[in-house]
Amino acid sequence: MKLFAAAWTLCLGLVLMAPCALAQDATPKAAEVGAQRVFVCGHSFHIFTAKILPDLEKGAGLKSSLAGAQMLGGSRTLAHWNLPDEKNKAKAALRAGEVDVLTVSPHALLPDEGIDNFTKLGLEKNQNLRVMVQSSWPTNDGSLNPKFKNDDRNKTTTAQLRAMRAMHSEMWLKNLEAQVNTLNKDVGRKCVFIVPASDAVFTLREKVADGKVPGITGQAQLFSDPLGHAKSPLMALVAYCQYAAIYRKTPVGLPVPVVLKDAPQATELNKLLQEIAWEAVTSYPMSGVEK
Amino acid sequence: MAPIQLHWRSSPLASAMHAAAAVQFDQTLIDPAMQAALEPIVRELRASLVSHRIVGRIFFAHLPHLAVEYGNPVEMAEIALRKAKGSSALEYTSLYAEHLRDIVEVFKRFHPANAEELITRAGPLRELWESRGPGLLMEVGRIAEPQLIPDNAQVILVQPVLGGSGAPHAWYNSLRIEAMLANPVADLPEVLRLAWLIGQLQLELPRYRDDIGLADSDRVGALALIPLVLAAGEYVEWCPSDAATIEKALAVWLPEVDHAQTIEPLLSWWDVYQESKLPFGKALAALGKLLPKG
Repeated sequence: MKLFAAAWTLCLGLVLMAPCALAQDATPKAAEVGAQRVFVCGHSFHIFTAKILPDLEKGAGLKSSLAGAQMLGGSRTLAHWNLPDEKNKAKAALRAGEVDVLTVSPHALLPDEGIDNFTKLGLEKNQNLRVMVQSSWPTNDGSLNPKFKNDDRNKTTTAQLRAMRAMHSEMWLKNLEAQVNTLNKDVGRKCVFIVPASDAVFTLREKVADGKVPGITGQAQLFSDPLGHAKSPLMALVAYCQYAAIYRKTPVGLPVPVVLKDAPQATELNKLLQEIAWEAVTSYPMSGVEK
Repeated sequence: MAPIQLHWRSSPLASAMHAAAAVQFDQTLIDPAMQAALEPIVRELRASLVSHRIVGRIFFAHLPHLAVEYGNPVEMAEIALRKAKGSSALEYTSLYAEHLRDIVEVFKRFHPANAEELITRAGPLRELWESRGPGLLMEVGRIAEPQLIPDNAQVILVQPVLGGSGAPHAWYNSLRIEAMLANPVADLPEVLRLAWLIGQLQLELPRYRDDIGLADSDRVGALALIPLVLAAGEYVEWCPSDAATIEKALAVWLPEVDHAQTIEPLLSWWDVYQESKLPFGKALAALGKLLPKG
């Protein structure tokens, strides 16, 4: 498996870091990350970031340059890798060296060989590629109950959310971390990172359960169905996580994006989502971002 | 999955070691006179352990099983010393054997007919267990995973000195339990405590320890098994398995645990576990993250 590695380039194509440093770590410091050519390759808990990221970039005064997007519902990254070449936009973009950052979203089954495969392919054309692997939240809240309903989420307590977060971490995230660590060692550089969207989602839900989220009174308002597809606030939160991990900059202070424009108390909600995303990304070492 | 085979054992020596271990771990015996008689002996033994840099917790933990297995203080002392420190401690074997004889002597003063008494005491628990106990464990295995239930185990019945107590000895695939004639808590039959102790015997398997680590696995495993055993207990109509009963069992079976800090994460973990049915080892590791540090 390869990670879908997105090569990053600095503004004007200048690489200011010393070669020896690059050999160890493809990651620039936050201040050194300018506009990035981002390719979004994932499933339905992730693909919406392809529409929202350009809006965030615009709000941040960054030149938006989406390198492309590819979506397969319920997919592992391997499913994207296995697409025939004529349909595989991700492979084509990587082969053309048109990608600085590749974002992918594995599904439940790990290891996901697609992450390894895309990373190794991308590094062939761009040694500064970075790959952002999204840690998504569990489908159906991890419940095996076939009668699980979206409204059931409104009954989930903060203590239960903490338990769900711990279970998610032990059952899935640890395995993803192990794969990413092995892959980085394998390719000889730290170019694959994890975007802790699941942590941010759990935190937002805890705040909703505690009645601390402007304009949102129940956790079910964050989701459109029992599976866990995101509604606008959750989409914005995940996009902010991606933004923070890609640009190594806080999203706090960015204007209300289009995806939130119709949300009640949009300004207050937007600020809270930005803060949650930044905290999630900066408190998680494998995001590669520090405060 | 075949029903578990239990081998029931008892001996005055094991009862004496159980009582001494309770004193060692600062528990209060129901008989103050025996407590007063045992304390100076245990204190002396503890002082020897400290002076020889032997881990008292480990030394005492081995004694009840060794008592039924070997039946004489010299062999018990020798093996407990090996386990608690290693062969370098064997030069003290005769000293520790003497400490153990002193404990037995005091215990026999208070319970001269312990062997006969335990035969009588074994009846109710054993009969109750044989009626539905194996079925309860099958249900534990069904809810969690069959690997959690051992094929067989030794049950060491000991004289009640704490009013209801027990401990697993996973390294010997045995456990000890006080042979109570009546349930100290009416709606929490002692047979459930027996199932809870049996359930802990497999927790030393790598599948349960790898994700959580050796240091925390006993504590976390014991906690996790409370709601699990009660759910199985409800299935065989021995108890309810609601939050109140889980709280009660926590207080009765693990009185040393910080109840206030533990109950909410335990109940939440159980709610989520029942819905998700993760591999039990992963679920234990998750519970370990939720609990206050032990």
